[in-house]
Amino acid sequence: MKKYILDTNIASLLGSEENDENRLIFDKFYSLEDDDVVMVSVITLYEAYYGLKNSEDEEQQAEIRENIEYIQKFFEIVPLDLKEMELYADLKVLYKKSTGINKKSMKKNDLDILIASTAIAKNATLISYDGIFKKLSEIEPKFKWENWLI
Amino acid sequence: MQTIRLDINNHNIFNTIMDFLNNLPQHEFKVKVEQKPVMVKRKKGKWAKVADEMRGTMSPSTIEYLKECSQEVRSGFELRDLK
Repeated sequence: MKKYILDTNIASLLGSEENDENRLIFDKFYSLEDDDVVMVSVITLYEAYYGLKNSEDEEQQAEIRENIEYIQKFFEIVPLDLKEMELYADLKVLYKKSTGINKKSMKKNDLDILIASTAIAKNATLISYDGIFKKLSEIEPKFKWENWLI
Repeated sequence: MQTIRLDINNHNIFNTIMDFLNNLPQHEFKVKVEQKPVMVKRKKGKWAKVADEMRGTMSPSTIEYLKECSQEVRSGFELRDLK
């Protein structure tokens, strides 16, 4: 049994029409075993709800609402947890030291690092095409990451 | 330039090869890696049904909009030190 956490960008792409660019995501889903666990961070739902409330297009709202329903119906929603506090702090310090990133730029990565901490705590592989996760997986071996677009 | 096509559909192998090539001295030769999607036999399990149900439910513009919203949330979020 394998465990995965889908980042927002991958959860959204599951709602797209299949094409050459995203075919691998669907191939991956077709290759999963029934007992594999697929999760989504609660942060993804926060972002989707923001998109829903921020949209002024009724058709778009309906599509986002349906996507939220699918996410809640099919995937385990992972809340932020006390267990991740120390993991988050360790990972953030590690990232800061290894990249030499300044404080202003660092704040843009806080939620990404929180999601990575969740993946470590759940012993799950994070699925995302965001480049920061490649870097995080290089500096923290406990963090597992895959990009299902390549 | 010589192109070598690898019929692999495993991103771990792909990433390993890319990392290896990226660490080679780039000035000595130019390397381009192309990955062509290969058709995989698709099962009809639980997650395949999920993919089937979700596929095509959002337009490209909505997906792009959600991506922007996600970036807006992430770039605007900050954990502050307590003073």
